[in-house]
Amino acid sequence: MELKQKLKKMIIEELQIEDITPDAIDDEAPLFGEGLCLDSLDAVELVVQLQVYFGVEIKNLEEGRPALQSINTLTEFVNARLSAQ
Amino acid sequence: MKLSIQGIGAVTPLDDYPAPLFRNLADEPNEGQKSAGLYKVEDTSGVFDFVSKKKLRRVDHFSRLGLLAAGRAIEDTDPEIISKQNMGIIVATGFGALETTFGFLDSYIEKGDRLASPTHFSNSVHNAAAAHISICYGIQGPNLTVSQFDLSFICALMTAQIWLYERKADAVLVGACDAFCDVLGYCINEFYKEKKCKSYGFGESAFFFIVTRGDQKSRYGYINDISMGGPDNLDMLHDKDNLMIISPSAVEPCCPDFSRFVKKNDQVVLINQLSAPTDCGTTLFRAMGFGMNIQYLKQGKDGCYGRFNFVKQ
Repeated sequence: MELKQKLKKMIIEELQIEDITPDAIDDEAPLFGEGLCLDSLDAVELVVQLQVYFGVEIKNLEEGRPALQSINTLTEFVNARLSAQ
Repeated sequence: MKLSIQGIGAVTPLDDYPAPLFRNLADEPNEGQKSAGLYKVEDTSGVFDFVSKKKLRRVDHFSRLGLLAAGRAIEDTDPEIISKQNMGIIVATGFGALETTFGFLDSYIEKGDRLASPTHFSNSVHNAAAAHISICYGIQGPNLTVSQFDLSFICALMTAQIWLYERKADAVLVGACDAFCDVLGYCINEFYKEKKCKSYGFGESAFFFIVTRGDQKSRYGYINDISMGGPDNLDMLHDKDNLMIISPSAVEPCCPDFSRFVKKNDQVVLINQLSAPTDCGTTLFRAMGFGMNIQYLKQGKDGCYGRFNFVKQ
């Protein structure tokens, strides 16, 4: 399974989003506020689950803010970290 | 000061709310029914009648039980009588959100403290249900969660009485909520094997009552003489026309001190319900259903008791 699909599946399962499939998530849509309508507690859960699933750590707001914009930005961030390991 | 009951709502493992709650006390599920899963409330989807699915995304089973029972109690109450601005909320729970708590502990043990789930943590605190209820239903008065095992509900009733007396609130949504989980079932069985006595039935349920000061007329009846204490300073009424209901503790062996409260000619029922420790709520519900006055006595831990009376008028 490609990384983008794994991330979408992780978000749906761990953030308990019902009635949506990975394919229905728009890669460009914002994760917070609009789009998936995630909130601050979801952001904390997402940071924890990225570490559990991929061993990738988001250490601060400067790293987290650009990475957590959309599925595409998150995929780029995780890809970059995995390549650097 | 007596409390006037204005609205009621419940969720139990028995289907077809509210009819089964008004059956005869002798119609408790038998052993076969218990093993078929009547400890658990399988379906809480009724809560979507009151709160949107989107708002309940992260809300766990324990809080959904509370939300559903509280929603039914609010729906049952005449909106002219109550104002959500002046309504308080008190949730009594013996064990809190057990399944979520164990889920959080599992993630802590398996992955370490840095990777434990924050969502599980936020739902595992005992006051999660009260918080969700007040947010979802817009209840703006004082908010409290009481956890004293068997005596949680009686303690919550006493607190509601004080809030109303001190005019901290004009109405209080007071109730009990407890959820069953497999770990609890395992522990209870092991505990009773060790104690060499028959297992006391634990189950899950939620009950809510909207109460106001006793000078307001009630559709259901009134709660009075709420008190807690040891056997030496707890007086029962011993009104031979009122059924005395005695409920043993869910966590202590049945106490011989019960005999101290019973006088000749008292009509007494000893109950052993599936819905402990929320069984005080079940009993009150049933007393209302049958329209009978009761004297209720609940055994707590370490020789402590709680009691209240329910009267129709």
